[in-house]
Amino acid sequence: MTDEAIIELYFLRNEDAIRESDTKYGAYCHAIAENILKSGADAEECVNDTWMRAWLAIPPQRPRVLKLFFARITRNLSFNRHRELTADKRGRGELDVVLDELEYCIGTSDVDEHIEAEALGESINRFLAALDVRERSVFLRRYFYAEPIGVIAARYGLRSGNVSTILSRTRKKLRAHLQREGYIV
Amino acid sequence: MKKEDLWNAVGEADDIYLKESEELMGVTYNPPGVGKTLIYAASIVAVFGAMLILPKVLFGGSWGTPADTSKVNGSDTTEVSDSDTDVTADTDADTSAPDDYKKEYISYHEGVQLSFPIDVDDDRYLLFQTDPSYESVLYQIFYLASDGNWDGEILRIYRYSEGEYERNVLANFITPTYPLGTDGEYYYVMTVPTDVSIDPNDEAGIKTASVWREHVKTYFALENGLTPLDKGEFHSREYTYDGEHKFIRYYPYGTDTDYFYTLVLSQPAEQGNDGIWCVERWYDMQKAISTPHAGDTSEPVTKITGNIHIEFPDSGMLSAKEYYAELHAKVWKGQTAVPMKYLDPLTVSIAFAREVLGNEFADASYFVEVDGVPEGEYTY
Repeated sequence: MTDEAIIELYFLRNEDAIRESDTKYGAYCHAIAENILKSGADAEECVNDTWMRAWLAIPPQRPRVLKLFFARITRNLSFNRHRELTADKRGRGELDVVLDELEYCIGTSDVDEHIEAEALGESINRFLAALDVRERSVFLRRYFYAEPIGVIAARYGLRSGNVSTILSRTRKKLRAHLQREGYIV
Repeated sequence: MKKEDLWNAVGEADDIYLKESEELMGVTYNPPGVGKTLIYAASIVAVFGAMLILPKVLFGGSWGTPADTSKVNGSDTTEVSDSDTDVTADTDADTSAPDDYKKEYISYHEGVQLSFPIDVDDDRYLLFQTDPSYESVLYQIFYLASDGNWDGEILRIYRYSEGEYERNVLANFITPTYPLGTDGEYYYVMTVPTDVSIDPNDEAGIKTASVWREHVKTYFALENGLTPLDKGEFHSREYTYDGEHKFIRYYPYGTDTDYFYTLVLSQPAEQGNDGIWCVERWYDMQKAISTPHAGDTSEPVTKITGNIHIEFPDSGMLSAKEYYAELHAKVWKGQTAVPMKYLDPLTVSIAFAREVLGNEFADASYFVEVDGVPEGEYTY
C-alpha cells in the first residue's frame, strides 16, 4: 500500500492504518529501536507505541515522508525507554556509546544552561548542510539511527576504521560549529 | 548543554538528509547462485523534487448547484426537460438504454458527459467538476445535510491511465472502487468514501447518495460508450503474469522466527534466462492456533490465514506491461546501474524489501527460496 493510502486511513480513523503501518514499516522501526535498546522485547514495545503515537498525531499532522515520521517517533520512544532502563540500571546499549561520543562535541559546556531545542535543531541542520554526502550520511547513521560502526561500514562498503575516522573528523567539525554558533565555549 | 540535548537536536535532522543516508548505498553481498559480488553504487537522486511541487490546482472549478444554472462550475451543463429526447441520442453511446432514461441535466466535462438522476432533490447535492490533471479526479459530488451544512462526499469519478488503474483499482482493496468502463485510452472508476459520510439518520441523504451511486454505475458507461471492466476477473487469476514463477520467503525480523511473507516473482517481459523478474504479489501470514475445549484430547490445530498484496510498478501513465518491456530493453542495453537488481530473483527481492516494504536493513540473510506459498486461507 502506498504511504498516501496509509495516511488516508489515519485521516479516516480506520484502524487498518495501524496494521498497514506495521506491515510496511514494522521491521524498519523495529531495527531502529533495537539499535538503541539492544532488546527485542523493548524494541517491540516501542514499535507498538509508535503506531499509537502516530494515531494520535495524524490528523492533524500529515507527514511529508511517512517512513521518517515513524522513524522519529520510534527514535524518541526508544530514547525515553533507554533512559528508564538506565535509571533502573538494567541495561547499556549502543546509545550509551553514541551519547558518550556526542559528549566530546560539547566539551566543557555548562550542563545547566538552558538550550532552546528548536534553535539547536536548526543549527544542526546548518551543520549537516555544510558536510559532504558521505560525511553527512555516516554521521546520521551513527547519531540519528545509533547504528554500530560495523553496520555503517557494511552499508556504505567502507572499512570500520574508515567509518571511525570519518566520525571522529565530523565530531571535531561539529564541536567547532557549536563553538562558532555560541552553544559551547 | 547536555549530550542528550545534542542527541535530540540530531533528531531534528531534515528528512532530505535522512533519506539521502538511505539512498547512498555501497552494500556488498554475494547473492547465492550468482557467484559474484555486486556493489550497489546507487547515485543520490533528487527524490525530494517531487515533494516540493505543490498541488498546482486543488480543484478546477468553483462551487455551484445544478438546480439553478445551466452552467455548472465553468463547464457546459445542459438542461434537458423530461419531454426531451433521450440524452444518448446526441452521442455515440450505446442506445440500448432503458426507456425511462430521461435526465434533467447533463454535465459535459473533459470529453465525457454525466447526467443527473431525476429522483433526487437538486438542492441537496453539489456537483464539483475538477481538473483531472491533479489526482485524476473528474467529478466529486457532495451532499447538503438537512441542517443546511454541506455534509459528506457521495462519490468521485476518476479518469485513470491503464497504469493508474492497475495501481489504484486492481491493487487497492481499501477504498471501495467501481470500475465504470474504458474507452481504450482511459479507465473510468467511481469511488465512494469508506467512512460514514452522511448522517445515518438522514434518510433523504442516504437516499440521495444511493440514487446517485446507482445512477452512475448504471448510466455512465452507456452515456459515454465505454467498454465494461471486470476487476473480479483479474482477482480470480492466480498470477498477474503467465510463465515461470519463483517464491521467496522474506523474514522481516530475521530468519530465526516463523513469521514471514512469501514473495511471488514473475517474468513480466520475457521468459527464460534473459527475462527480468518482478515481485508481482506477496502473501503475509497469520497463524491461528485452535484451543481444544476442556476434556477434548485432540491436538491443537494451526490454521494459516493471510492477505494477498498485489504489486504494480510505479509506472506513471504506462501500463505495467509497457513499463516492464521498456525496463527489459534498458537492462539489456546496459542502461541500468545494477542489472542484477532486475535479473536475479534474490536481488529483486532484496530491492523490493528495501524500496517497497521499507526495510532498508534487508539483505540476503532475510530471504530463502521456497517451493510455494504455505497452504492457508488468503484473501485480498
